[in-house]
Amino acid sequence: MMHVIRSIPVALAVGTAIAASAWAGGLQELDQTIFGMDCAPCAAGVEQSLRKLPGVRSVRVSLNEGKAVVALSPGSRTTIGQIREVIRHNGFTPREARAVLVGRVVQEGDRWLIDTGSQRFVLEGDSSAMRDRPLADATSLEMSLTVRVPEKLRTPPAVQLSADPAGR
Amino acid sequence: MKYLPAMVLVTTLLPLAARAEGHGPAFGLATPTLARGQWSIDTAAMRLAGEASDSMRFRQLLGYGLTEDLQLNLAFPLGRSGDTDLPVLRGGSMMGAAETVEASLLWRFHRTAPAIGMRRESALFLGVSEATDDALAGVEAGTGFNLAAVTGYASRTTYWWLGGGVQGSASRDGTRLGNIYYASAVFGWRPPIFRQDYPKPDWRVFIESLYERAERHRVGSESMPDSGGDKLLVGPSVLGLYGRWGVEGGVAWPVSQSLNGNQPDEHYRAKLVLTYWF
Repeated sequence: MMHVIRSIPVALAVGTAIAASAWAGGLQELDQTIFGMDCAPCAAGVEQSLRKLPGVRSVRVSLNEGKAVVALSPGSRTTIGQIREVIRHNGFTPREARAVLVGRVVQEGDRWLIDTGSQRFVLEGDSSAMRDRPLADATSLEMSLTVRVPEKLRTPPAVQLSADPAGR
Repeated sequence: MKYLPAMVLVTTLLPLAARAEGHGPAFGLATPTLARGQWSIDTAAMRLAGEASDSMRFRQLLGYGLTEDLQLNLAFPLGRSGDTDLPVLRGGSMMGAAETVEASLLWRFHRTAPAIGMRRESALFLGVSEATDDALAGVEAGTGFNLAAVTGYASRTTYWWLGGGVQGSASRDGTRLGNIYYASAVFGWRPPIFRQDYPKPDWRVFIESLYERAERHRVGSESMPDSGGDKLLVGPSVLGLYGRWGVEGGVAWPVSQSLNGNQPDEHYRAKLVLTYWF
């Protein structure tokens, strides 16, 4: 756990600070890997179902890559769990994902979390690429963080910070 | 062809977007595919060419996904032309017997997705049917049933399904249609040129084999001599998918047939299906 705590403040530098006036927390993008999707109507069904979720701006489905990339409007309350549920209802299996989360970083005991307004995620892992970058006070900032989301989300949901800069 | 205008009307009135009998085999069994709350509509034309006569029959299949693993199908005839005394057979394993209304429940009881674009699954089919004609093949038909099982594999390059079932009917006024036992094996392949990503068109080709063994019909305690027999059919089919539309066509020829009594041989059966998922 100490490893996680040490690494979080450094890894937060990967994220992008957002002006408070423009901030609207939430899931901004989900790049969701899907297993078992093999046909064009399967992809069309997933695409159509995902578009019906509130706050969804665009959906791109790739059969060859086995993924759905969902972009959401700022402040959307749609969750990763809801997106995965839609995929399951189409008969397919959502696996790991990469997500861009916008939220406020908070410390709770020995854990670091990102609070998107509608959900809180425990931040885990490190970012070796950014290890030497200082971060004065991440808790006062709203961040856009790129995270890896495991196939199964426990309670509370935990995500792993990605080395990829947010917004890429 | 008296019901052809009705068929044209139904297909024309479809909303602008529809899955072809599951993943696409024209004659064989395949696992169900509908999402929870999703509808599909298939309009099928099937030609049966035989030694004595030719016939065309048209059927409609409506599908609804109760859950992602439980599908409800309703298949009914739209019309026919040619020989009015058609042999009793299934118009493709998924579409139900000719000249009957068939309601089916499809339960995908096993499903695994080990990789991107890959799925292994198995399903059970349970159907009940009622004849729309007074007599099928000259026999008054009681309420029918269909029970089948299928297992298969789908990926972005190859597909296969193995399945089998039995179609039977209750006795009516002392007469009873003979049971039809059937089994199918389907192998599918998507040529490299058709492995482009969604939303580009998605085509695949199949080799299908269908075995049918029909028992003799019974009238009272007597078996009708000119009924029943065995057939093994083999042929190619092709499925094209674009967005929510699907079109499939296939031909199957008997490679062996042994029909009881004085029944005309079948030369081939051909099928064309237009599908929309919405």
